[in-house]
Amino acid sequence: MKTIVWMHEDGLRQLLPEAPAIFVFEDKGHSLKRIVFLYECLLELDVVIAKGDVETLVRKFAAAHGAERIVTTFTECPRVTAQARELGAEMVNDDPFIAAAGPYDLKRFSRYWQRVERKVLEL
Amino acid sequence: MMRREFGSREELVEYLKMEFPESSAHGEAVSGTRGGRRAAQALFDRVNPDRYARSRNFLSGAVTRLAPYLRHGVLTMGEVRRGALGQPNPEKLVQEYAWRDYWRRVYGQIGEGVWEDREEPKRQGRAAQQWELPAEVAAAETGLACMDGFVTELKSTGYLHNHARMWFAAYVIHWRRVRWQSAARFFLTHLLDGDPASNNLSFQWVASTFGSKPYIFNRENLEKYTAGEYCLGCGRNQDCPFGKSYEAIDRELFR
Repeated sequence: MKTIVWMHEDGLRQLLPEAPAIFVFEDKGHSLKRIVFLYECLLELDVVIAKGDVETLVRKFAAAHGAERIVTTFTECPRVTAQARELGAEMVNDDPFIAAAGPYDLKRFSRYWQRVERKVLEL
Repeated sequence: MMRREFGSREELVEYLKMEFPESSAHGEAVSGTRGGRRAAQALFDRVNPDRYARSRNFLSGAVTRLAPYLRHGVLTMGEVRRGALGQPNPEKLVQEYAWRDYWRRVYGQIGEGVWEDREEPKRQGRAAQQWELPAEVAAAETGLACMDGFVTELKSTGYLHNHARMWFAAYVIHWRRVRWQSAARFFLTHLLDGDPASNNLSFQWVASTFGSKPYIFNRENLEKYTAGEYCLGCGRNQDCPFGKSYEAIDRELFR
């Protein structure tokens, strides 16, 4: 199945090097220095850079490539998650901090740390 | 489609100013920190977990400067963890990476709830709560060399050492009685690594709305970890609001 990658701010890396990728700038109220930083990250990647409405532009990009599958990097960000759901995009958690997902008790860091300490301190 | 070919960084900056005119509301500074995997890799190769563990609280300490790259997934949490484990004494650094993972997991659970108090603040004696960041704080005109210096550095570089972030947060929240959200928004605008997860939840930790007690500091602590850099030429050297014992500050702020 033909696939494209939707690259977003939380995943500025080549997720599937063989698939065409697109990044869309939205108005997020960023400072110029943040935009320059993001742009420099993008310039090192094989990705089409666009500006405007994410859903419209990603759908158009997928159609232009005849792709039925949209893949994106996993993020906890609620906005990106909602957009991914809207696009029917598959979220890939390619290299997480801890392989096992949990669930963990997140009431305090100390409780979480107690559970993960051994796992994250071994290679 | 946006442009991908530029003759120089200046050309890129000029192009982005034109494409994103609204960004100039936050100033026209551009950071010396470059985006991209190459810059990230150069910093990653220099990470020294043992020196980090011994010196990270000092502004001159061997901190990694990886935050903007981790924040945007240029580097993965998996690879920096493995990188640390391949070197001596990795525990402290991996634990600090774990804080980032922890904040992100909480973000995944509560989403936009990171903008609301997670818990009641502890020991807020005087309840005065201002919602706006005072203009002179944001303009680096408090006369406090430390706080003004932090704001100037943040605005011009998009970076602040973690300890400076904590001091600034404590100053704004506890001394100035400003709701943490306004300072958190200010940080998010300017930090290259601005992340609603670690940023807001760390502000909440300082405020004690996500922690068991408010975080405070005193001059002795700041002076030690900055090697006196700010205090030395500070115009408010004689009336420093932080120049007291922890007990005295605690009494003043919370009773």
